[in-house]
Amino acid sequence: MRGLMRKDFALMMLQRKLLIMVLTIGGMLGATSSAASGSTFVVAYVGFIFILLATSTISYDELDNGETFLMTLPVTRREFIREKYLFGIIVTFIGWGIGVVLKLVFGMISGHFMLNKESVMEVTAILLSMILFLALILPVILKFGQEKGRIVWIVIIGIMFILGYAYEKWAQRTGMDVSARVSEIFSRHSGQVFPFAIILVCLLTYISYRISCKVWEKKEF
Amino acid sequence: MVKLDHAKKNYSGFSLDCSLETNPGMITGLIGKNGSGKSTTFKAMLGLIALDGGSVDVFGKPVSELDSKDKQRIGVAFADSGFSNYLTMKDIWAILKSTYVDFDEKFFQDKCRQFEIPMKKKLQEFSTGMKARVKVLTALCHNADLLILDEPTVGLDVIARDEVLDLIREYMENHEQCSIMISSHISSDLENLCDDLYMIHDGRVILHEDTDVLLSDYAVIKVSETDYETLDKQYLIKTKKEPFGYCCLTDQKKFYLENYPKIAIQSGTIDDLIIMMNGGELR
Repeated sequence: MRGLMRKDFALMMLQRKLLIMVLTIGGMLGATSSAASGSTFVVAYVGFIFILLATSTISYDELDNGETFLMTLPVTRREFIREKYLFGIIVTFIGWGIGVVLKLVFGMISGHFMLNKESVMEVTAILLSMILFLALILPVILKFGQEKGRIVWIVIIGIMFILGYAYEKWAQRTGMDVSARVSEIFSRHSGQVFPFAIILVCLLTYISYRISCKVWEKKEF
Repeated sequence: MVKLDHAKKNYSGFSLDCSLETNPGMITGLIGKNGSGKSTTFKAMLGLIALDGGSVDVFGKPVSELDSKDKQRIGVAFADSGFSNYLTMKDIWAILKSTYVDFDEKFFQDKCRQFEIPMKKKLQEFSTGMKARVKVLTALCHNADLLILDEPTVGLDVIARDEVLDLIREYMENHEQCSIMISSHISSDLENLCDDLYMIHDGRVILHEDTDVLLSDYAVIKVSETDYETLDKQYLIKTKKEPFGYCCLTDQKKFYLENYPKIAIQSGTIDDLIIMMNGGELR
């Protein structure tokens, strides 16, 4: 598995120009944002770009039937998937970490730096949503490939949009605002909600991993 | 080392039903025309496809039960698949070193130097011959007990082909208990390399013979229609009608040489064999 990890880092570093560009833009966003929320955006921006870079290694594997050869290396199908998740999570942490550092540095420079419970919760929430995003996209990409995966994502986003629209209509008609209620619970019980959210993200990531294992075990090369 | 017992795989328009075996200390060749099922057979051996029937055992256990330790003992080279072309040889070196417990760094380094493989160039900038050498080196670099080499010489010029084949020969000399399964379009490659040969046609093994026996006992007999009538046909494997009369394949060359000294008998090359067995036309 160490070999695959090395391969994925080597493939990711092929896009170092994009990485430098992302960090430059991230830095510029951090430097120009006057409010703390602006610098929080930098954490999400850098982090999500890193996730895309991590999943792009799957495209490199797919190119020229590369996966066929990779599956002859001394890893089982399950270990191959484990490596993809591990690599994805490590890269996500790196991206998030860089984002947090940028936020801190530019927060200090602009004088908006505040190390309080809210800002810690804010960046932790971003990290959790990033891992959740990774857990959602990995099974889709592994099942359909990067190209077809994009189409599947457009369909999923379309369905989500329709559901959101339907919810809004329903909320208008019934006068119930579930999202406002959820936000209220979150802000009032943040101490309890956060550990629950962490457990939930871990559980969903594990479910995602098991789904990907099933996908990969059935795949023919 | 590898045993396929009626390994079946059905695709639309093609079905494989293959039985074959490789043994320690032997180089086994798989020959057949394009689309005959060579690559599908290799994929079945490596557990890359799900079988519709039959079984594949590697190192005495079902291929589906091979773990990473077992796979450490297998070296593979495919003609159409390998490490990403965006990686450099330096990257591949590091990857192999981290992947294989028994990675032979000195061998790898020596061969890279011998073949003048550039370390910092991406594989996509390599020539076909250089890429083929890298693929074979990748398969040979970790002292594997089983080598599965699918068309390792495809698209290579004579010199590059010879270098790749020498590499395989050298490996066999240093790993006497190793088993090698190799396929090639170029039958002369296999004639000089393999201990035994399987011929596959439309997904079925139609011939299995020791290479020595193939070259010494098999022959192509060319006879006129009148000579054909008097010919003892019990040792003819295949007969084809030709403009001059008949062309026949036999595995009893001596019998016909002794009993029919006047007819034209040519020692069979593997190319002749493929053409005769596949029902093509002789040139």
